[in-house]
Amino acid sequence: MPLLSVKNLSVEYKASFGVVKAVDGVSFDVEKGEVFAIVGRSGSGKSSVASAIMRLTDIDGAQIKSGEIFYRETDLLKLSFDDTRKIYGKKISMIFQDPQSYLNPVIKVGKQIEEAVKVHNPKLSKSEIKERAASALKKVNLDDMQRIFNSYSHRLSGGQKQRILTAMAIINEPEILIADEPTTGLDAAVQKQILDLIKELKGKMGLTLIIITHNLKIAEKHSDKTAVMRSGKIIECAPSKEIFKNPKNEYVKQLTNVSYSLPEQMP
Amino acid sequence: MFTYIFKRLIYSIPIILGITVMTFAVMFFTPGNPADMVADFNIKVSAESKERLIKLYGLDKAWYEQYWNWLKRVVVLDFGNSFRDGKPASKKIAERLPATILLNVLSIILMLCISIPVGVYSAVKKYSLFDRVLTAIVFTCFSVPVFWAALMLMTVFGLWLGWLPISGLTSFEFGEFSFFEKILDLCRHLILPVFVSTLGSFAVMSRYVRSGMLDVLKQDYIKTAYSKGLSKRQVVFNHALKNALLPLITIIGLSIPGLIGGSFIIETIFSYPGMGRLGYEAIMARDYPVIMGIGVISAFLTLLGNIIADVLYASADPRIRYK
Repeated sequence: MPLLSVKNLSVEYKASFGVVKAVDGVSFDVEKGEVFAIVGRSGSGKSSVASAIMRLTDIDGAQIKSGEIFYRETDLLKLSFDDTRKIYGKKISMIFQDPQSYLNPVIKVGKQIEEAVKVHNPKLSKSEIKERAASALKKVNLDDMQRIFNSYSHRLSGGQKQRILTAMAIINEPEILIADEPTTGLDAAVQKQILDLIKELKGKMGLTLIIITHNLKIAEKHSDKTAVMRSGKIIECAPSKEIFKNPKNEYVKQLTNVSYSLPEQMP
Repeated sequence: MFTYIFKRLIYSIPIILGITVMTFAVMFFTPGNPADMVADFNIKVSAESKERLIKLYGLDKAWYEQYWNWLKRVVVLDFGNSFRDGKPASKKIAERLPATILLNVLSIILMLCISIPVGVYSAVKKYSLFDRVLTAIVFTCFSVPVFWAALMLMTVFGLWLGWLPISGLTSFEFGEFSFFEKILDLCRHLILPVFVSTLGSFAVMSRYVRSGMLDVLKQDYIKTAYSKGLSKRQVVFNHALKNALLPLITIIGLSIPGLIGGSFIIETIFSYPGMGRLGYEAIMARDYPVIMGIGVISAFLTLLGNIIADVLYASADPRIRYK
């Protein structure tokens, strides 16, 4: 049985000119311990899949029209909002693209990290919470804990922010980590650090990873299985080794050709 | 922070000077003067006594001389004596200021206590029945003219039902009341004016809070908060509220002039002994010392209020730090 199984998922946005089908009947399985990549150009619906798994579609004004998302035996879409609270942040976590705006600007970073512990472990004492926060920061290779704890997010660099967001995501040792374009908006050197960090965490904690990216290189290099999306549909889903060596779909062929003709350093 | 406050205070000195020039200029160039009021409407007053009156008030001097003489006294808070009853203008203002501040502070507090919860709730339950009903109420409040609402409420609660007094701040027998009776009497007199002056601002403010909250609830950090597993309640109160309320500090700061100047309409309708009515009466009587005193004091307190609002904003929003 797969750890996460998405079945026939459809997500719609209401736009001024009508309804936009961002995700149109998508299905895939993610096995435990796997690195699953979803690739596609911007607008292909890959982020909406992540939003649906995290039940965040409402915030963007989107709606899950149909489908099932099984985490083990539970259909996440059938749970009440309150019941999903026990799963997100504890079993399934997410880090987002462009870390700049994903930390609350008026709350000290330390409080935001501690909150992530507290919400799932209400019985822990203050010092125990602090201990966990400190060890999570260590895991993402942030040393200057005292300063970071007392800072507001605008004082930190993009790389630091993404590390903090990653620390918050893994603090309760989840099973699944969804990384939605985790390197967008960061400079090339930091991109590599963050990718290495995510891989390192996967090794240490036995995470199951879902990486969403427009970057085929990342998918090829780091993932076990890749799904290619185009206008809301998965057009090919196969082990990464096969799909990049010998794609069956014409569009995927074109994509991989473009990717290979680009110089190495392109992000 | 302290250097910032100090600098702001220093910078406000030229502004205050500018304000005195403007106040003086407006008065100086306005047609009609207090001598006219006394002389022209009374056939018994001869041309000579009018001349004497003009000399007495110093109205025959050049404008810069008048301004300089006035400014010298303003520095020590002496605005001259009222042309109407000879009392010092500063004393008249000092008598009225507390009543106006009491009325407006109460109505601002009431307005915040209602409009913040209402705005937040209708943002969180966007397009629900509650939100729609509230929107209708808010627009009604907003479109009803203040004077009409005041008169209607006076008629219903003051005359028909007889529950509340319709004018003034205290009853005739106020002096004989015990302490608690005095408080009760004040409250009864304040209910209608406070309610009426809250009406319009509540409508505006609750819309501000609602749209601010809706905006914040779409922000990326709200997604982070939800994906951590926080409940809706925790997200709204711990993450969204502070961000949504920040702009209110500025709006409250902007409402400070009204706080001090008082409302001409409400104070006149309710015969409320505040700055608004004092100003209205003084303008009608061309009572220069009082008008200019009110102008200068309101401007000064407004400046002070703006500085306080800026400092508060800086301490509430970590992204803003003044140098």
